[in-house]
Amino acid sequence: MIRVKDRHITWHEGMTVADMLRELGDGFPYAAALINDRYVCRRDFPTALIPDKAEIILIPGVGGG
Amino acid sequence: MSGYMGKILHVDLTNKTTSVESPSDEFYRKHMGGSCLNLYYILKEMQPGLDAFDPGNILAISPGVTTGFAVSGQSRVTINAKSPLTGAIGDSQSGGFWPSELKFAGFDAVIVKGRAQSPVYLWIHDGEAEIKKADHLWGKFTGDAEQLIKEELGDEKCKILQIGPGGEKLVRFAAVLSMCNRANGRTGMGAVMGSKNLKAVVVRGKQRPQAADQATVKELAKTGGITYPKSMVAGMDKYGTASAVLGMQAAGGLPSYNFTSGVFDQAQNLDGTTMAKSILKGSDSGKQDKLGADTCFGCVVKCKRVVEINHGPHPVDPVYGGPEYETVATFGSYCGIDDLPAVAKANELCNKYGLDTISCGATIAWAMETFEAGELTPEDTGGLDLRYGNAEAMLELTQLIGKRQGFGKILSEGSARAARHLGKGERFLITCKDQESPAHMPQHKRSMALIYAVNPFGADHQSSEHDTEYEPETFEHFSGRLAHLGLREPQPVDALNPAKVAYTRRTQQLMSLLDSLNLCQFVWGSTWQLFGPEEILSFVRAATGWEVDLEELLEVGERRLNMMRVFNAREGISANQDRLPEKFFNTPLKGGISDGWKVDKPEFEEALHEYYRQCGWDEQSGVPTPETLKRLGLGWSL
Repeated sequence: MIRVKDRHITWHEGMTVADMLRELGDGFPYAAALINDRYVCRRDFPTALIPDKAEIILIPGVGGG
Repeated sequence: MSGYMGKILHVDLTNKTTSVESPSDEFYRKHMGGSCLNLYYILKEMQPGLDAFDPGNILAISPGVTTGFAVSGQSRVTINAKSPLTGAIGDSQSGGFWPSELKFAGFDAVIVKGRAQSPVYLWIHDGEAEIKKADHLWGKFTGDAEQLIKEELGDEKCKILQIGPGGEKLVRFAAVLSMCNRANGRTGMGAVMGSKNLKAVVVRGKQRPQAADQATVKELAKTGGITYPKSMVAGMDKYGTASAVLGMQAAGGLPSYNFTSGVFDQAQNLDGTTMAKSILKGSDSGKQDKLGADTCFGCVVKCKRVVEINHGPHPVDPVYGGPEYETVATFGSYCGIDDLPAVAKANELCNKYGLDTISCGATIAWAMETFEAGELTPEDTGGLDLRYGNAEAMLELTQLIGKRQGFGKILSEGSARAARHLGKGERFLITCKDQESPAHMPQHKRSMALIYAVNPFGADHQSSEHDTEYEPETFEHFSGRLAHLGLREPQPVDALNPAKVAYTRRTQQLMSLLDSLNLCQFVWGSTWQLFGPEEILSFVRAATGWEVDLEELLEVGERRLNMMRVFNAREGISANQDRLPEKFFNTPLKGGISDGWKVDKPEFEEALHEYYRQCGWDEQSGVPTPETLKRLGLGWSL
């Protein structure tokens, strides 16, 4: 099980960030993700592996601030 | 009369008089509030060609017709005047509780002219206004002045918009602060207040704006709360805008080393997620989600940060809030500094002295690059070692700028004036119309090249939607809302073709409308925010009862932009200053995925003319044509 956006998603061996986003299904174009404390940018979503029990923070590409 | 209070307060500080005007419903519908309303008075009442510090400069402060209803992202205020930094129109927004409270006090705007003989503040309450002495407040940090005013008025709940010592001493990028942590930061509006000997505008009242359709307003308030957890802005309450650091780093668009690079190897040390774990108030006991976030009147997003540091070399008082993304970038990656407590300290100093964190951090970064190049020496800097990464020097310099002392006095003029004064470092400038660029890179997001150049008040990142929301790979998600603006042709992030120009211009009109209604772009923007164009329309209709359509609203945004261009033309500023810093064209970025990126000059020039054409402005001068002004009901400004 992994945790993202206050939701729990079932983990499977070889799960990538792209897989996780498909499971999450919110369709948002995130710019980056923090997997525990490891940072992954969007271009690496298809290949970046997620370990079991990971805590994930998704980061949008903020326009202002 | 719905939405607005029907009263505009006029203050003449020279003659110590106040008067109240009650404009027509037609006037409110045409201007809505914010900069559009402010510009009306500035164009009508201010002589062209005055110095920004002349008593004749008009300082106009107003929220909008939707302010004061408890719906997310509506409590904001815009301040306008001639800018002492750019010489063009000045414009700056901020949120908090002051904007709503002005309406509760019975007014839609405050228009200030003249100069008081000695320091004063305005006390506006329950439909009345007084000019009160402020000699005892002059020279005080914002936090101390706030406390003294509350004690003096015997009202803990009054809301205070004020300047700090930076504005009093006429730092050209001085900010105006409310709650000591919300800044109308850009374009030096604090210095204009200082030049008028106006320390603060204090408001309090029990009136409330009346909605024409209260049920719809209530429904919008409710919808915001329900939608937020499922929206893309969810997480702002936990990590704030500084969570953008890693997104920018990922894209190669995090300005680093004074825009020399788009990546900063230590970016993670500065990110909002790191801030939440380390320095947010309550983080030592795991209560940062509750204690480390703050919000504005009626808003569910809670994007504001509260930092508290009680140990180490950089203690930070939570009264002064915490750094936003822009502040983290300008004092952090711009300066090659990855010390987050030091960056938070710089934010505290800016809020104490009343300084714009973007211009302040970026001006220091410019000095650092000039120092690294050997053009500035310790003799110039008063012995400060301004190499990149020196957090202690950055903090010392921030204080010197706030005090206008030593080398800080030269930098308090802004980087462009400092470069001209010293005859050094002009090639390192990142300014447009003499205003320092915020933390979004034209080398990465190409429409920023156009908007930084053409924006009437200098480089600004909140004057249009960014390219990343119009890319083919993200467009599907945003297409519904963008279709309301007629935008259906997604373009690559680095394109600057006519379709991208149309995207820039059309979203600029929407942002311009938001800055007239004073709706927050994080909540009401056209792409991934909580609400979109349809809800803007519902809100305005429900608040005011006007049967407006989206085109009429967008025309308000267009009107504001044209009024600003008219103001600038009167001051001799037009296409001649719609320029980008040469550095963006001739110095390719170094390192990371953005290595080698730069703005293509011929493409930029072509986009500039295309933009003028699409705006209905003279293609050579960039000045609105008489036909365009008449179409927008601005024939009187000719």
